[in-house]
Amino acid sequence: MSLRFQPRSFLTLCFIALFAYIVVASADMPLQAKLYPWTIGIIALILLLYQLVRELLPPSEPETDETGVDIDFTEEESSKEGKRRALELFAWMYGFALLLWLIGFFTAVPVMVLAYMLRHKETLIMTISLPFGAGLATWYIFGHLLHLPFPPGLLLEWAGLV
Amino acid sequence: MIDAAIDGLLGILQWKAFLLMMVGIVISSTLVAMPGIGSKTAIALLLPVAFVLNKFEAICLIMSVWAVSNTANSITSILFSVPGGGGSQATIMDGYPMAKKGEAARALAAAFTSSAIGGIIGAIVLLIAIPVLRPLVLLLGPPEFFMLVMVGIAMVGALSGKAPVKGIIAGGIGLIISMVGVHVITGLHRFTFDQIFLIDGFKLIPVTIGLFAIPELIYMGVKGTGISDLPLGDLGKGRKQGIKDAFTHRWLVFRSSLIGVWVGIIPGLGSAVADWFAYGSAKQTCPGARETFGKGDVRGVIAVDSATNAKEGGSLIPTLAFGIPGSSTLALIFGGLIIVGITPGRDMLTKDLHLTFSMIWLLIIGTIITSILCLAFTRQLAMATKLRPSLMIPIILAMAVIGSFAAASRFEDVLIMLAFGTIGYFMRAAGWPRPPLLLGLVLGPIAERHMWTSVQLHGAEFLWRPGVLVIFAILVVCVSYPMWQDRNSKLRARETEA
Repeated sequence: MSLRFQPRSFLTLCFIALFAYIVVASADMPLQAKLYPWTIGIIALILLLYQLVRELLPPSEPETDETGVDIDFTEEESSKEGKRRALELFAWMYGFALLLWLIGFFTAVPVMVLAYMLRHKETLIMTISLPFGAGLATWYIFGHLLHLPFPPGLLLEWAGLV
Repeated sequence: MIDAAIDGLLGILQWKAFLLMMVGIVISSTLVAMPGIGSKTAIALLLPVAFVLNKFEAICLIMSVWAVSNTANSITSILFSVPGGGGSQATIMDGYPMAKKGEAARALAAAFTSSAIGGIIGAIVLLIAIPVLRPLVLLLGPPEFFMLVMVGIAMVGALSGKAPVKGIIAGGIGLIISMVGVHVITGLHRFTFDQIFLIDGFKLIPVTIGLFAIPELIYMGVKGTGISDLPLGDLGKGRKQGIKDAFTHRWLVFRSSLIGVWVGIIPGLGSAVADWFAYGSAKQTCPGARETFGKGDVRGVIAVDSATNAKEGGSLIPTLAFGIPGSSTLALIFGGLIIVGITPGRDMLTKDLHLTFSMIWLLIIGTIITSILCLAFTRQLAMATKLRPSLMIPIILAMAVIGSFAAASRFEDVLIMLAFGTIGYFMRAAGWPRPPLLLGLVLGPIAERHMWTSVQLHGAEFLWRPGVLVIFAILVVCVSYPMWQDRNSKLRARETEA
């Protein structure tokens, strides 16, 4: 019987590593703190090993990706172009987080919205009004009304602007 | 008792009290529709105002914010797959696919209508249940609570279609994530890697937004069209259909409402559980639901929304009758009531019975008004699904980031949200269900607390208590029934082919 390693099994291996770490790391803890992680960790490890074996062995019947209780991954998303676009969006998200850290929420939110509009060649009215509206809502609703303590941004702090 | 009921109704119908109720409804509907800003934030903002109000006015203002929050919660869940709060996570499962299919108006209308009916059922149950349920709740000890939590996780896990093992493991991952932070019994920092922000553990809102909103955002970007590229059709008709759906599936509404009330009665389980319990139950009991749930079945929306609203009535039972707040939001309300001289507990069933009735009336009237207001704007809300992704993506991303930050005012939560967004994307890609993970995260601390208390009180023998055995039997049925059903349908399919 030949074994087959699929890319999706990589996630299963990651979960095995996670649970193995939980079981090992809690070994030195007092009983009160380790009883629960051990109970959950050991049961989950057994189930994960079973799952890994199922993934490695050839299926006895045609497989589907249906998770039943979740929204299924589409063909568009699993295509090469879909993965490229997903990667681009991840870059936008992590780039936005970096921008928030550097220049703070009040500036980063309208800047990100503006940059996204320009990248996707939105109409002039939208390119002007949406970043302005987003910035205003962030400042007025979340900053002024709800008093959320947004961090000022590293660069603005260094420059002494806040 | 009838006098108290009339006094309660007249109390909240005074012009100032009624006006404050409307203010509470508008504030709540607006704020909770923003991800991360739950009813707790809205109540916290309004509590100082309670100092200058009389008892009825304070009840109207504070309680209306809480009573109607679950109705507005569904808006962003259905339209953008961004849960508005703890109780609207399961609404995404069928509400968002319906929006994708161009049925946003129907989904919203069904959600608002079932919310209204659920809220009324919850209030009625509250009315008749207080004297009846007290002994029943007191029967449950820590071992039974522990098993009840396991049933919840197993139910959602086992419903994970072709991959029940993956579902149960995903629940386990949620339980593991919930262990991060200070261990309440020993004070030990567990799995915090010496990071201060991890001492408090992972907050529900950033994890939820990350797991659900980010992968859908990516889906929208990949597809390159709005949430729905199908015509919205006649929105008025969709709205009518949604209202009709809620009445057509009246037994589902009733059953789910009772589940909601029951979860509400049990202190500590909270709103983030009622929706999944109702969703799981509907998936197991509705004909053909195993094939259609998760793909835009209106019954999935109806079950969840009726349960989350009915839960509010249920959670008032321990708060008012025994002085035990059913959730952290109710603890906040508890504080607000004390500010104006109302002491939850035995008095609420004796000398302050008229105030208890005013809360019941408020639950009914507030829910109906909110649902009507939301229904009136269904058309405008549904149009949002036709917006271009280049307009939607940056706005939803900004909402997701601000919502994650607002949960605890920590920048690290934004990073946690993004990390869970990445995990959620890969889970979807590899066919791992995300809802059980979330449920594990919600129920983890409750399960651990009850497990340890059970071990201390009874040793390993807690597993042999009659209540535990009964609940364990329910757990076995929950896990094995879907598998048995699946096996049967496969056998039938093979027979048909042959």
